[in-house]
Amino acid sequence: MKRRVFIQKSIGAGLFASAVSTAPGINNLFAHAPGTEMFDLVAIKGGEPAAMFDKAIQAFGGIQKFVKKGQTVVVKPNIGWNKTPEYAANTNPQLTGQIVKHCYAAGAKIVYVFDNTCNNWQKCYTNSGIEKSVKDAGGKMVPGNTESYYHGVQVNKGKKLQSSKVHELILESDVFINVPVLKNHGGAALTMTMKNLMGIVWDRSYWHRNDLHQCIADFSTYRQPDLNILDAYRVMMRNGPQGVSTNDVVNMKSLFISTNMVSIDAAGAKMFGMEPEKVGYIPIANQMGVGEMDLSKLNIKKMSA
Amino acid sequence: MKHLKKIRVTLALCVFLLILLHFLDTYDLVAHKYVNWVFSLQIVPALMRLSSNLIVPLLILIIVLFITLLFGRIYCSVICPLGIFQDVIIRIKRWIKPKIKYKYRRSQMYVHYGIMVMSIGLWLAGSAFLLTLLDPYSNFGRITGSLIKPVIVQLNNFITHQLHNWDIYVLHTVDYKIVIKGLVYSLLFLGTITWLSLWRGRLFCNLICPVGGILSIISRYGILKLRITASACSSCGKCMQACKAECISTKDKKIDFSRCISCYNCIENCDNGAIQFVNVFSDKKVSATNNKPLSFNRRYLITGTLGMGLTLTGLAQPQQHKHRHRHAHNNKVHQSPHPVTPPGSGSLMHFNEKCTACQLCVSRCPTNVLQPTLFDYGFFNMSQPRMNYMVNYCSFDCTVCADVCPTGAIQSLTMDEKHTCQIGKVHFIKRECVVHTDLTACGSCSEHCPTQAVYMVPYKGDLTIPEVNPDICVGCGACEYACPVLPQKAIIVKANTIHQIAEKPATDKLEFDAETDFPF
Repeated sequence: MKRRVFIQKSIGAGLFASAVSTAPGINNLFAHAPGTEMFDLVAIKGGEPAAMFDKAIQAFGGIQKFVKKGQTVVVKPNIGWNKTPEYAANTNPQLTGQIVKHCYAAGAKIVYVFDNTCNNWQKCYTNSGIEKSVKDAGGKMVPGNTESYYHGVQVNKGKKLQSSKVHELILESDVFINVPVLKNHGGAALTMTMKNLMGIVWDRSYWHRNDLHQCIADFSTYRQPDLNILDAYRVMMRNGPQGVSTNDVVNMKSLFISTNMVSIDAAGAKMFGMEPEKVGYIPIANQMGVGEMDLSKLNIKKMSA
Repeated sequence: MKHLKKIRVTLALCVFLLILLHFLDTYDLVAHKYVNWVFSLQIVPALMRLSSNLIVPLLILIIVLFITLLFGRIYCSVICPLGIFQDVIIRIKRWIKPKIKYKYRRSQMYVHYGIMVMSIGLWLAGSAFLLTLLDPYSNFGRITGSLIKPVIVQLNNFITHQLHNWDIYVLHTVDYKIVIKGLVYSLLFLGTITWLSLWRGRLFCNLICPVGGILSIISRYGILKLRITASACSSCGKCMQACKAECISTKDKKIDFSRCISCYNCIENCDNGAIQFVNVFSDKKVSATNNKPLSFNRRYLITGTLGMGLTLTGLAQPQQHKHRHRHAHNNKVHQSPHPVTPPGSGSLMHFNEKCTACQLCVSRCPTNVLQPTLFDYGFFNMSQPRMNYMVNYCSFDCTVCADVCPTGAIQSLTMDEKHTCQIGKVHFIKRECVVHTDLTACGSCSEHCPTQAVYMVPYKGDLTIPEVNPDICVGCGACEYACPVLPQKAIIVKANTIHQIAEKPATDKLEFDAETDFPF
């Protein structure tokens, strides 16, 4: 290659790269430079769901750190209830859609989204707004409504819960992204990333019957999701997990990202106004070695959108 | 004239498929309003609706009866799904064994009219028991809703799984649970109707069916009747052999038009064109020779009154006793003393009065909480659906059962009315609750409660335990369904025998200061 041509091309490539990096939207994710500080947890507040995720995941190393080209991804939001987004009973649809977009931008082969819902699953998928935003982003909404999708697994470290039936997409996909919404829960105090895993198993009733907190902690030893994203944009402060009216909901406009469920749940509890020790399954999981709940021991990146 | 049968078959298939698909439309592809009209043409549902909504059902009844008076029992071959269902069975039989030959049989009109008078008489006296049990539409509904639908659902789920294996998510699996004892009557009836139609064609329609009975009497005095023109008839017997109603006598060259179900097989099979519609007023001979006038003889009267008397005596037994007995029998068993009736049914009495147990609501209920029963409502209201909270719970934002009910047993509700329609009240049994017995967290009931009539309050340590506010409870049964304690659930819904209006849950708006920093 001649020198002049090389310079021309380099300038062109440089211009292109800078154009890409200044372009709005998800492209600037890839401008993330290697060698940036590694965080245990990223917390962001003050923005819209999709924009907060863009910034936070960039600070966390970009989605390409977790999703490689050609991989299959399963995103598990909370779609448990037949409620519209303003009730904050389900994960924010814009956030869910944006995560799917990021996965595809990182080269994912296919992105699945599902939940084992509490209300009629079709109504939940539709009215939560998640089905539309996922489909618009090119993702696949998959049902989780019959037992035949679920296959038995062992929970080796479990005390009360030694086995469970897990949705086949969790077992088969290369990457598992856990996206709960932070909200009040009458029985489990709060629902966050660990509690959200009750939506990937079939027999939830067993958990309720046999020490709910222990079962939630037990199952968290089964596997850590590859990525946990906690939606705290709208937060249901009472009457959870379903809510009665939008009066139960406040705008926290926050988002958390971590690879560790215990840490992110501890941060979520604090944000909600509860001590992590008071949320039964957090100290149990902490003791079982799933993760650190003492936020002072963590390297946390706090940001504003 | 030769085209009459083709027209009849085409119309009948349209009606039949509409009704069948409405029962089986688990994907909710067709809006109810486009199909409901076919159901409102059914005579017994129209009779049931008379008292709540006079004009429309009355108009439908008048039109159907007038058509019958003009042309005969077209209803039996075009509108009645059970009639068409029998035709389908007979057609299948013909494919297997092409040479079915019917022969003329004597009319059993006294038995038939006796059953009809008893059914209608009992209904007027306050119990639709017999009418419901024999109504052709409702029986077709029971067969389709509780026997055919499970097969279709299984098939759908099998195909769906194959497709999902190839990553195709066009179809989805359908949850379908059915309580077996609710199928008993449907199975018995399916067996009977199949046997009857294989054996003697449309015998059911001319021996048992109360709707057939009404239409038979009207067509007896009809204006246009099918008649054999004696001069053109070669006595070949083809019409008689093709007649599913077994009402054509070649020997006498007569058609008993009161039994004719207007299938027009005879017209199609007559090579000489000898069978034609004749206006009875222009040809006095027809009415004189073809039909004996009705004579209310002694045998008929005795059968009728005796049967009616016996059944009325049976009905006089109050039905609530049975439930109270079961409830009192074992002090430890907590259950609703009455079955919970679907939202929109108003009261147990209204529901018992109007429901013909056609199972359309059962078939269309998205959560399967509506289940057929056997004797839950007592013997005289057998098969009526109930809310079964062991199977599932009633969706807060759903009014499908009321939208489809053809008899007015479940009446339409707006979404606002549905949200406060209290069909039962929550009842918490603390000594069974897992929070109390095991001192572990649960909250499953409160979690599922759409109005937070079940809410969690502090208990020992950091535990929370359910507390109930029946005033805002709608009786949806989500708590009972979700309760993990078995066999005696720790939280149950007891039926309101008269539905109430629940109070709306009151809340004040919460505030949050978004400017504060992260608390860590």
